[in-house]
Amino acid sequence: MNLFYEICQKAGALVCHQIDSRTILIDGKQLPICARDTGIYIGMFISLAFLVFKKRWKCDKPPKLSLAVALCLLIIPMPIDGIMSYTGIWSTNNFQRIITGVLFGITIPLFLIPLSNYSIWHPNKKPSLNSWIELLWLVTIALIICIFIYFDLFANWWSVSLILIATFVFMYFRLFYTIIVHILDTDEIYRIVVSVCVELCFFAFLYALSKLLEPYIELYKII
Amino acid sequence: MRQCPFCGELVEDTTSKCPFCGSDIKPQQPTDISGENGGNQNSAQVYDVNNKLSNGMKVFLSMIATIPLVGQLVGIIMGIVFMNSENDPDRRAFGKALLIGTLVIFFVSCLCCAAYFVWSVAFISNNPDLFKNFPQLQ
Repeated sequence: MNLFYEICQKAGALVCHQIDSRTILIDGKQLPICARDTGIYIGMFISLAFLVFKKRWKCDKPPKLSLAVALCLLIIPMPIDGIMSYTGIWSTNNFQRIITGVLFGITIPLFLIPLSNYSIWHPNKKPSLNSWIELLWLVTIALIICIFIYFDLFANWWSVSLILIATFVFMYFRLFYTIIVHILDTDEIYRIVVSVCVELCFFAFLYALSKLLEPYIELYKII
Repeated sequence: MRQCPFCGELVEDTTSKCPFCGSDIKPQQPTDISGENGGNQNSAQVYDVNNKLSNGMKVFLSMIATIPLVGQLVGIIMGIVFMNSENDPDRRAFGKALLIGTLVIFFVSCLCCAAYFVWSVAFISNNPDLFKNFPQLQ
């Protein structure tokens, strides 16, 4: 279990600063990424799970315009919260960070997943989100799960960490895959292999960057 | 059967991708894009000529989409508007590219925020006199 803890912390260091005061404790242990990122990746996981359970993994169209505008409005609180806390206009706590993060997180897969299936020449029939009711359910479930995580009601560190790490690895994979689908006209399996290779290179770059910045992060933790 | 405009091989009329060279080619019968009305081929051509999205507008929208937050929201919404436009493959293709670009910028900017945060701490720590001007970091 110790080894798993170390691996999770190393993986989290790739995408997050891991500052102690901004990280949520579960079962007495720190999550591998900070509160805001926890919100973002939990939100993404819930959206992905929603698409799988609704059998919309092959959806080929983003939501209709009114829903898209509503989803864009859900994005706004997270950057505002971030900007305000970094500039020191007001200070935020971990609860605000995780809630604004999760609202941001649920929107991204609903735009990203249909993009790789979207066809320019043929009509696209399956939107990723159909109605306002679905959006309301999605937001409610996401908020409930965040409250559970924040108040440590799961008390199960490794399952939450596993979900976070798996989600961010998958989301970066999907981002590269979406780009590569439009560049390479080859077999599906070849595209997936290339996407995984690009993702590994990207993580290697992030690892080098985190090593470069490590002394400064340690310094910040001391401050 | 017809000829692929890129490699010259014979391909099916309805296919949108050349099986020989992989180029995107327009299907001969645009009925599946433009709906069920009769005579839509004619109207689609008129639409293309009169309402074509200019390159200047594309460049302008792409530049707008790189502005943090406000521009990205505009990029997402305009991308979806263009993706939903019927009849016009040019707009649909641009909408798709705009939405992908905006999402990529979102991911990159999230990472940049974390890196900027750490670099700014490094900068302050290298210039101790500046540090007292930032009470929120203490």
